[in-house]
Formats: sequence, C-alpha cells, structure tokens
Amino acid sequence: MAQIIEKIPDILGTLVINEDGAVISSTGELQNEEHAAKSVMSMLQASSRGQLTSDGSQQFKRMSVVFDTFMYVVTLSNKRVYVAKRGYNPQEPVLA
Amino acid sequence: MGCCCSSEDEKLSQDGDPDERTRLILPNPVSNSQVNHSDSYGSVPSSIAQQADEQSALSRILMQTANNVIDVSAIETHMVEQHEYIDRATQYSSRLTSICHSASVLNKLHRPALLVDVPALDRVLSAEPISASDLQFIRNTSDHAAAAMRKVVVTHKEDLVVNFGIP
Repeated sequence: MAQIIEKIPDILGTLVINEDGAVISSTGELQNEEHAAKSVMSMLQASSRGQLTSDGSQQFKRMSVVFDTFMYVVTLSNKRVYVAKRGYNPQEPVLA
Repeated sequence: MGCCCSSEDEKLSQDGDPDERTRLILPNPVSNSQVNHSDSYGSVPSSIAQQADEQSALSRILMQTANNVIDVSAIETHMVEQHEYIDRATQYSSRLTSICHSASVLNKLHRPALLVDVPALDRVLSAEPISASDLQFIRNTSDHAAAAMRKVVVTHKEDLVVNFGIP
C-alpha cells in the first residue's frame, strides 16, 4: 500500500475499509477518520441502486467527491474500499 | 455500691489493660454515664436493656452477613448428561449455521455494489481528476433536476372521499 500511496499525485491521506465498513488502515489527513469511512460507505450503498447501462456491460470503477480545493477518490479492489484524499486544483477555467 | 460492682468492674477493665473481661464492643458513652449516675435500683434494668441492645446489634450483624453471603453448596446443580450435551451441541451449531447464512445474505444486500472490483488500484486512484467542464455539466444538470423536482406539485381535482354503492 505504501508504494501505491507514493505514486498518487497530490495525496493528502488514505483510508482502507473492509466490506463490513471497518477501517483497516488510515494515513495522513484521514488518520482515524471513522466518520469519513462511514460516510463513504453509506454513499456507496445509497448509490448502488443505479446502473450505468441496462445490460450491465459497463460499470463504475471510481467515485469522486469533489470539493473546491480537495477531493475524495474511492475505488474497490480485492473486496476492500480504498479512499484517497487528494488536493484538487482545476486546470481549466470553470465555465459559468 | 451493691449491684453497681459490675459497672465498677467494667470501668476498671476499660481503664486498665485489656483482659478476657474487656468488652469487644464498647458501650456508647451516653448509656455508660447513665449507668454510673443511676442508683442501685436503676442500674439493673438499664444493664439488662444494654445487653438486649447488644444482642440485637449482634444478631443484626449476623443477618447482614448472611444476606451478603451466597451459599454455593446450597444451589442445586444440574448435571448435563453426555447424550444431552451432544444434542445441544448439534442444535446450537445448526442454529448458528442458519443465522450465519441469513447474515451473509443481508451483508450482500448492503454491500456497495456501485463499484466494480478493479485489480489496478494505483492507476484508478492516481488517474486525472474529472475535468472542470464535466464537473460543471454535472452540477448544472443536477441543479436543473433538483429545480424540476421542486416544481412537482399535486393538483387537487376530485373529492378526496368518494362514496361507493350509495345511490
């Protein structure tokens, strides 16, 4: 996990959650953020009803929660939910 | 002094070294002074009353101790027979299996099914963030959807209560 974290640009913190919603490891700004883990899990559960395509050929790989200066990137791998908090600075000017 | 000798003895033993006649529970000073000041006729009933008080105090302590003690040997023991033990073990294990099965089904229902399991974790986490124009598009669309949802109203057209089968 440490090598993976080093590769992520603008990383501020990480969370690893097992499928029961328990935090396995936490680093950086997300250290001991049980509440954030709970929120992420409930967001995933709330949005699990939707389907990208009717035949299910395409599926979501990543959920991004974007704020003004940072964002949470959530993905599922090996039955574990990985949450990365990354700095966010939009390159393109925001259109009105 | 007559009958008061007993109180004199008491006084001596209290003042001097403790011996076999020394009382373990000292009488309270109020009752003691009463004994010393009373005459030979009054001292007899007061010492009897004191003794009775002491007896009741002792029996109260005994009662309290008995209440605080749990007599384990008096509790009936239920011996579990060998076949009964095996029966119970099978019953419990079958009950556990059924509970675990339903729990795993429940867990599957609550499991986040939105995301698909990806092997290349680092690539997904390190990928470029969503483009600003896409984000703006999503925000506009969700704003429009929310505005449309707010405009949904129920129009009242017919009576709320309708009578059936009444001519």
